Amino acid sequence: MTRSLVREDPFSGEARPSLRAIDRDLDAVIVDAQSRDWAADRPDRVIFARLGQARHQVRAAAGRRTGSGPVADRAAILPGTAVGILVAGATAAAVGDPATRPLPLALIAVAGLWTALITVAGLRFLQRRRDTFAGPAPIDDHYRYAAFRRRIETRAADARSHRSQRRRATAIDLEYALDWLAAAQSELPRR
Amino acid sequence: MSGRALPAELAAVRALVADGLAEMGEVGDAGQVWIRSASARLTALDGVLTEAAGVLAAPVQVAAVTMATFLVVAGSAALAGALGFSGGGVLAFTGAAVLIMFAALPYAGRRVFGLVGRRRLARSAAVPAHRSARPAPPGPAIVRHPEAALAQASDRLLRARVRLVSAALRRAGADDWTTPGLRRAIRTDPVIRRLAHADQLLCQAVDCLERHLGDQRKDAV
Repeated sequence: MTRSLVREDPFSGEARPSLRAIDRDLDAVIVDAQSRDWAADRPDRVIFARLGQARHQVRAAAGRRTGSGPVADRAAILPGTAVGILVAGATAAAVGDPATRPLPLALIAVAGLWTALITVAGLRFLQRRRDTFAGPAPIDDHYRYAAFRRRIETRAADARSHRSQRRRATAIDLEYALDWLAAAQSELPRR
Repeated sequence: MSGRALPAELAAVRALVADGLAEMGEVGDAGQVWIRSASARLTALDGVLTEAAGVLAAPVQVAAVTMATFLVVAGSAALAGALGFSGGGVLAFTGAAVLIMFAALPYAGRRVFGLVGRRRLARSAAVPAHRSARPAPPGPAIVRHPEAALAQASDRLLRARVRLVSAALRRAGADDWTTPGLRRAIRTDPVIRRLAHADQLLCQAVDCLERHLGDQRKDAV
């Protein structure tokens, strides 16, 4: 969440914003808005739906038309995977030579898997305490829309001048994404 | 919440959505861009709901992944040994096999959830089917104004949305009915994540219908 809370920042060092990063940040905003709608904290079913269309187009441009998209819970799953691999590797190194026989190796792999799962569960439990952010909704922030527009426009300009025709075609998806972004912003109350 | 109630609830949502789609089809301008994209959203919604109904319980998933890991690692290590690799070679071969397995896991999971979900939905829809069947199709003499039909369709979709969201909230549990709690639930719970996606598709369809109606009103003026 912290990274996506960054507003428009010309010095963010993102010379070439990746579509994955845009997708992830849009996802954070949408999930926040949707949970606010479900909790009747900020009831509104239009804006997050339109942002969802924008994200759909960004995802189509990234070439992932199906699937559940990026890893939903990176903060827990990536460290968990790392811990699992480390534990499995350390066990294999400690056991030494017999570790390359099938049965011990399979047991070590299962041990690594379970360590990863337990780590993910533990990290999620810790997040439960920490993640209590309930400030102003990021979906109401006009600067954020400006940031998304700038990033998507950068990618679209990149794609338009690309050699490969398939990459040039993704510019159309990104233009649809910009349209939906503007449609979402037009529903915001004016300042 | 009992495990039985979710598929029944989702079957009801699907029935409402199907009614809405039928009403949109009656209108007959399927060529309209907004109506077409609303129908596309609703079609995608069906697959998402099926998957959501079919998500297996967490212990079952853990057991399945554990079994798969064990079998893949043991098998690939035995194969590497038979091919005559030495220590490091066996480890590299096994590592590659495990990587491929974990890359294929989401795909396989989607297939399995889809299959299980279709069966569960069919079972829970079979019981109240005779009750929820529409009593009698309105006579063909009644020609409704297309706008009225579309407004009714979007009403129906919104009613489906109410049922969907309340099913998701019941699944999340009353302790999590706050913004951070629901946000976390959408991220971490596979069922609620799919329900959230379905809700989003439903809202998009309603939005498309409303934009179509708004355009028509603008044209009429």
